[in-house]
Order: sequence, then C-alpha cells, then structure tokens
Amino acid sequence: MSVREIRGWTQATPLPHAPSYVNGVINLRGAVLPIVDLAARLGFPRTVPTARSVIIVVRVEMQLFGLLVDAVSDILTITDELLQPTPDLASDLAKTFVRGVMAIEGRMISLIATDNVLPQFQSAA
Amino acid sequence: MLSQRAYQAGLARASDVAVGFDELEQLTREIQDSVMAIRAQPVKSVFQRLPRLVREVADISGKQVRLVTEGEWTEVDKTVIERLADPLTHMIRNAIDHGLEKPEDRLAGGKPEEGVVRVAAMHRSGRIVIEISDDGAGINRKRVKEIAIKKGLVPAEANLSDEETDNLIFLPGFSTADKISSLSGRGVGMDVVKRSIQALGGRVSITSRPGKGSTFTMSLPLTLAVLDGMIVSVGDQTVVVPLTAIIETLQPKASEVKSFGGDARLVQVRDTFMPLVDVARELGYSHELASATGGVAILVEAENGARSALLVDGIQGQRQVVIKSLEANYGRVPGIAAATILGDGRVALILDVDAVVATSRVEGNFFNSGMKHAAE
Repeated sequence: MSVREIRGWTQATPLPHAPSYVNGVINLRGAVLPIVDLAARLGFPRTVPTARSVIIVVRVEMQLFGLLVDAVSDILTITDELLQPTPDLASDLAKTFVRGVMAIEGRMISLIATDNVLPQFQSAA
Repeated sequence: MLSQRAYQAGLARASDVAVGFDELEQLTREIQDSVMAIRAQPVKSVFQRLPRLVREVADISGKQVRLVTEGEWTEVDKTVIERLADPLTHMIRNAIDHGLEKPEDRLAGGKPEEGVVRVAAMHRSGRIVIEISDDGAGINRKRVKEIAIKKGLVPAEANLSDEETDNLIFLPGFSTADKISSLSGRGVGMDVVKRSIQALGGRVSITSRPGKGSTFTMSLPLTLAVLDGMIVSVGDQTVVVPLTAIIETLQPKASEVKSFGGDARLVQVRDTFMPLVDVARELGYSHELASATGGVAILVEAENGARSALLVDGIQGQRQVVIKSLEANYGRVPGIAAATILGDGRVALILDVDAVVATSRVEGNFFNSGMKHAAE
C-alpha cells in the first residue's frame, strides 16, 4: 500500500505559484512534505484545516507527500472482486483520481489513484 | 536556539540546565564541523583532469600553453567539486582560445612564445576562491563593446567603465568569436558559466589588463548543505534570503521611492536607481502592492550583476540554515531555490533571488547596475 503513516494537521507553509489544491509544505521529521488537499483535488470545495484534520502520508515511487483529509474512518482490505471499475459517466477529473468504486455496507467507497494526485512536474528526481 | 528558549522561559543562565544546553550546543556544532570535514575533499580531483584538457585545446588552437596549478589541496565540499568541473573547463577553454595570443603574436609583443594559464584555489573568508588567469592579450574592450552594441545588448550611446565592459561577456548571447569552431563561438558562453556558478551560490568576476592578461575569479561557498541566510518576514510568512546575494539592506524613505509607470517602482540608493521588487506579491502571498516605506529593502545582486531591491516586511535575523530540497517530493517552484526547517519546526522557503528578480522584470532591460539609463 502507498500509505506510510497518518498524522495530525500542522500549519503548512504555502508555496508560491502552486495549484489551489496544494496547501503547502510541512516538516515531517526533517523532510519537506508537500500537502495536497484531497477534497479540492477531487473537485470538491477546499477543506478548511482544523486541529482535527488528518494528513495521510503517501509514497508514490520515490515521492513522499501528504493528503489532507477530514478524517480517517476505517482501514479496509480490498479484494479485486469487490472493486468495480469507475462508472463511465464520471468526469475526467474523477476518472483520473479514482481507480475504482466499491459498495461496502451500503456506502460507496472510492479507491484513490494516489499516483495522479500530485501535480505533474518535470521533476528533477 | 534551545538555550535561547530556555532563557526566555525564565531559566537562570547559571543553572545546571542552562550549562547543559550550552554544552549540547557546543557538541552539536562540533559534530557539524566534523561532518563537514568528512565531506570535504581536495580540489585535486578536478585539477587532475586539467592538463589533458589544456593539451587538447592548445593543439586545436595552435597555441603553446603551460598550465600552472596552485592550491590543489584546498578542500571543498564534495557536492561543490562535482559541479565545479564544467564551468572550470569552460573557463580554461576560453582562457586559451580567447585569452592567449598566437605564438607569433606573443613574440611580436615581447612575450615568451609559451602562454601561461594559472589555476589557483584558495580559501578566503569562509569561501573557496578559484582564480583562472592567463598572460594573454586581455579583454579587447573596444571589440567587446562593439559586439554588444551590434547585438543590441547595450544602447549604442552607453558610457561604460572598463569594468562594466568586461562584464558584458557574461551577458546571454554574447560571443566574440567570428567563426564557430570546436572550441568556441557556439553562443553557449560565459553566461552559462556564470549561471552555473550562481546556482552553486557563487560569484564570478573579471579583472583584465590590456596586453597583460585576464583573471577570472570564482568565489564559491564551501558547502551546499548549509547556507548563510537572512531570515525575513514576507507577509505572514518567513523566507530565507541567501546572504551571498545580499549587498546591503536599507529602509527606504518615501522620497526615495519613485513610481515608474504602472506598478513598477524604483528606489534611489545614493544616486543610482534600481527596481523595487515586492517579494510578497511576487510569491503570491499578497495581491496588493506593499507600501515601500513600512518595510525593509534588501539590495541584491543577481545575474548580469544587475542590482535590485527586494521589499520585505522585516528582518528577523541571520543564521545558518540546512538546505532541504523541494524537488525530491514536489518539484521546482518558480522563485524558490529550496526549503529549510527553522528552529520552531516550521518550513521556510529559501528565495531564488535571480528568479524572483527576473520574473518581476517587465521589460528586462535593467541589465546593469552602474547604468543610470533606468532613471532617464
């Protein structure tokens, strides 16, 4: 899994010229960690970070970044049978970030494609 | 930092805890120094490659060259050494190809046939200085100026001092060679050298005497892992300005700030005018033009030796910061060179002075500090 750890919200240092869904960078034990507002990235209104907001630290290949979310409710084990492909009517935005949906206890859960969440740069790494 | 906090918390300076903190601080500094010493390597590894380069270039250009190296045991941080090779190679090529005369011209000028290229490394006030000098003809200032005017890099009526003329060779697109050879004339010139040295936090300067030769001096920081920076407030953010770029700081008076059409402003510093760059606005922290008189102007020298004044809200202090890459986890941010973590655990961004000045420049022709045409 790409999730490395879950931590509380700390004030981020905003980055100039960053897309609106990038909150900024925080200090994660000496490393500089960019924070992406997941709601804003998915096209919902921006999350207003509070002390109870959660940062999910995610690793994609060599890059480490944080996803700002409202709360973490559960940890699920997903099997391929449970996962349904993203329905066709979804917008391009949703299709980019949602790998699939599943029905669990009557709720729809989307599986986020973490590799597409960070803005694409000609990164030097 | 820790001990300062302890004092602020009302701890007596003589108490055991305070003494312990002082010891800790000293130990930490010792560790830092030893780590730096381990990373340090002599520049010999770069200098070793030079004889071959000199031989090759001398053969191609038909000149006789003797290479003299000095101070090859001068130690520098590994990362600096790795990035030193390219600019050094380029400058030595230039010294031989442009600096030295042909053997017959040298004899006619009363010099020995064999030209001398000297490369010397030394430590000077916490930086490493590398000098590349040749005993050639020196910079042909008349020609440099003609070419610069022809290429439209300077206005034809510009009145340049010798030093300013010499610095023209660092302008992008400048090339004195008439023909493209395998050595020079490709237009990838001294501007690239200057930029790569500036990317390392260094500076280049030239001194040249007609008939006697030229000396290029590179001054580089000893390490890329830490940086001396001035901590400034911009809006409600804290930003680090590399100390190497800063010339002086001042508080502009209302009478010294001139409006220059639109939002552009100039600040007058002892009879020269330089663009005033509102850092908060450049970085997108605020959308309104900050009042110039409330803040502090930091005079910086950027690419081409152009000077500008960066307007910030206040200066918090000066300290060494550890450089953390933003590119590893995120990507390049325009106007920002890197990030660092301050004593309070928050991330502060290190300003890329050149980039901020460059993006703020609307019409790009404030190329030279000494030139007063900006005021006209």
